[in-house]
Amino acid sequence: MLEQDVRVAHQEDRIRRFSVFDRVEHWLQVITFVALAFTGLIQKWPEAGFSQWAISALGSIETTRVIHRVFATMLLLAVVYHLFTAGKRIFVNRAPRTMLPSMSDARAVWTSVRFHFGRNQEPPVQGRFTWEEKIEYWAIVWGTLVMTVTGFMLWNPIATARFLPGQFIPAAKAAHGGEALLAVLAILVWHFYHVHLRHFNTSIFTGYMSRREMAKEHALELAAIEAGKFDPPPMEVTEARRRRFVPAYSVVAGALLVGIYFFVTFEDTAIQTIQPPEDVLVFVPAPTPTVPLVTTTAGTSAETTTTTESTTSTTGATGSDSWTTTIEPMFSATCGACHRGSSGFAGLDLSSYETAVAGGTSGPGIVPGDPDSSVIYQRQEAGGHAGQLTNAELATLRAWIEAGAPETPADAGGEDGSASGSTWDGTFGALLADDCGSCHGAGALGGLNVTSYALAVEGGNSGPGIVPGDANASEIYTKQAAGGHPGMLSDDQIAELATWIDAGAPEK
Amino acid sequence: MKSGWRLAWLCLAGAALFGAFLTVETSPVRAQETTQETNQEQDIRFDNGYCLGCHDGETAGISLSNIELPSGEILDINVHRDTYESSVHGQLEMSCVLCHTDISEFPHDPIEAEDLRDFAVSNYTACATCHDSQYSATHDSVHGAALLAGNNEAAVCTDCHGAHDVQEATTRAPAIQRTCENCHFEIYTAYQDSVHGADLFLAGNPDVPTCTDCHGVHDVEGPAVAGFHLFSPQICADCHDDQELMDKYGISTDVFDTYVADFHGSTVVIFEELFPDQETNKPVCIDCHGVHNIASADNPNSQTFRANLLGTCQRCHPEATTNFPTSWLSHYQPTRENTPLVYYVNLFYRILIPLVIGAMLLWVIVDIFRKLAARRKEVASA
Repeated sequence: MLEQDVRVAHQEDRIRRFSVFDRVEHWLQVITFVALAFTGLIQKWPEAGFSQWAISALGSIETTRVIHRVFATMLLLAVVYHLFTAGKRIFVNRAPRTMLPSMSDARAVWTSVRFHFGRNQEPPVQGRFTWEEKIEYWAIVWGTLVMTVTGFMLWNPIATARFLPGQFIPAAKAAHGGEALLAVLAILVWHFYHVHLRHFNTSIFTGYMSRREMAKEHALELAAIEAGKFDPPPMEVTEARRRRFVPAYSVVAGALLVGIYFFVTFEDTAIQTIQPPEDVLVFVPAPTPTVPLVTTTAGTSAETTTTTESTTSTTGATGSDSWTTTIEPMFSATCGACHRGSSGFAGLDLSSYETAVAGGTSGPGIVPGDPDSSVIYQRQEAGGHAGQLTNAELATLRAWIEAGAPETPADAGGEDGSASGSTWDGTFGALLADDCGSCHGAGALGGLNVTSYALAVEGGNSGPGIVPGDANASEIYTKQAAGGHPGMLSDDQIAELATWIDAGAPEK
Repeated sequence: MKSGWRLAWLCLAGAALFGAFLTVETSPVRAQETTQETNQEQDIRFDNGYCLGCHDGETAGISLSNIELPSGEILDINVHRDTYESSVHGQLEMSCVLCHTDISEFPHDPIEAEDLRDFAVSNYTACATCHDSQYSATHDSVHGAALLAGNNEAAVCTDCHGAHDVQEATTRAPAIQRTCENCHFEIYTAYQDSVHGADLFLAGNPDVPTCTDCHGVHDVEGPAVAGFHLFSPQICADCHDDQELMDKYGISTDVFDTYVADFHGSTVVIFEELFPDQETNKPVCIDCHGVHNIASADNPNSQTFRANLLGTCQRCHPEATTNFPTSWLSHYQPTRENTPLVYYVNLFYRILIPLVIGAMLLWVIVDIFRKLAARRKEVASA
């Protein structure tokens, strides 16, 4: 019993202020305003950290723009809907035009000011919409108008520039951004204060306001409601008006919808593809290269060097091998490129017997009688060396070291080194063929071929190879004595060569 | 007296610190590289006379037969001693075999290259021994990628630096001319006529960018590289944001700010920040100003010359008409003289926003005070 009384009393205590249509409109405003402000302001300040976070969260800047335009379209549809509810109020219900500003509002402002400064004991008595609410409504009308016009210009800049100077587009951008900022700040300051902070006015969500609140804020409206002034007219009256209004507004709404359709699809502002900024061929060789890659000499001899097969001795261990006859030529061919002279790699100089025995930084090169202690042999046996002896050569080297690593052949006069008996056939034919033949053989580098006595004597481009009886006039001797030749005889061999030539360079 | 000593000590300590700083700062940039080279040189120096004994045919008095490659091209195997010895490597007395590592014995292994290009491509890898960082950078560059993709024409070390005649590298006029022009003749010709190139060659101006200033040196990037187009405004900003440099030429440094403030630029900046690996169809500097043929906006042939702007806009906005180009403010900040409409709209909101919001705030504050006063009175009367 008691419970029911409370409910009845409660219901009587509530005054209906907003229809479901009005409440839907408010929700449309809430959704579109928040979405547009959010997606718009992050575009206005794209460099701000929050904006970048938000743009990432939305997917991309392009998505952000699409979302903004979707909600812009929704706002335009909300406008069409608002015109419908407003039109219905005016033309069908012929309700009082409570949102229009009037002189009583000016008086209410003045009373409010006086009240706030203590000149009045009471705030102004106001109707359905207070002057504070009317300011907000008309600000939204103005804002929506500005945003629609400038938004159209930004959405359709090419169409705009067809009728207006181009400057209108950046001006529209400035206005769109300025108006947005104004609207957001106004909502935050004015709207939030009045209906959320001052007191939380829930009527736009529930549709009802308590009689106590009504008496305080909308006393005139409460009085009018109770006097029956706001009662809707009888159905039979509105029915006839509705029959005229609905088709008339349908025409207007149709026109507006077509307008919105054009607004949204008016133009393709820019191509979607990415244009290359430049159309050039990237690789176009210069007609006359300034820096030739490899100098080609004009009139190069048609004769080409054919790389001769290795002429290094491949004879097995014969016991008669010596430094001068076998090992030195072998080292010269395979190791000489690096291990030669005082600056040879790793301190190893293989151009003479003494230095080869002494070895380099890794230890003694040759330990006569003990190949496994000889670093040269160790390195070669391990394999993979930059200059690598063949297996046969390696066997020769091992046999030679085991045999005590003799410097000269047992039958070549031994340590006394007498060269008086030397002949081409006996000594120098083989020596020169081994040491020099790879270039001055069949290939006859520089015109010199030392593979036969006659050709060696004849010499090459630089002059006679051997002048019997005159070593200093013999090109082969002078080149060797000067040093630095790619194929070098040992000092002893050069001395022998001079002795042999001076002795008339006997062939046999 | 005492404070005087303290000051003297302080100065001395300061000077010492500064000296230490200078020592660190002024040590040669290539120090590390040079040390590396010198160490190797001491270790494995080899008498180049041995090689030049044959290969410097002129001095040796022999005519070294050149090698005919299978393609029929002649590989000249002569090296002039003077050429090599006056090169940077020759001056360091570096050994031939340091680069020609495939030659360890005599006679040499036969050359396997099919043609001259093949020979160059098979030999440049030797540079990596000492110049590893530059070599790696080149491998990751557009040239390295092309080479890897099988394009033998792609530049290798020796194409730009030479082989036996390597000189100290510079990125200025004659060096650039010798290097990039060789393969990119069409681009080079366009560049030569551009506002940058013309000045470079006519006035020998060291301020203007050459190829490498925009594309990099060893890590050369082309427009096909992801992000090159997107980030290219920052290349331009390197110089065009430099107040001191631009003052010399009377060029405004607002160009970058005004670009970013506009729709195109702000989109590009967002992409740079958030989606660096994605392309956007919004234009960057080079899309309007041209790339290698970039010209002053006062040049009637320029894409940005006022009479040519519509054509430039139409590349992306095919339906644009006469008024459209003026929607771009030509890098000017909106002023009363240039763009009155934009200026006054900005001014309007600059006044309206503080005015309206200020008034609202004021009203809200007054209202709060009134409410508090009313409540205090209520409490007091109760």
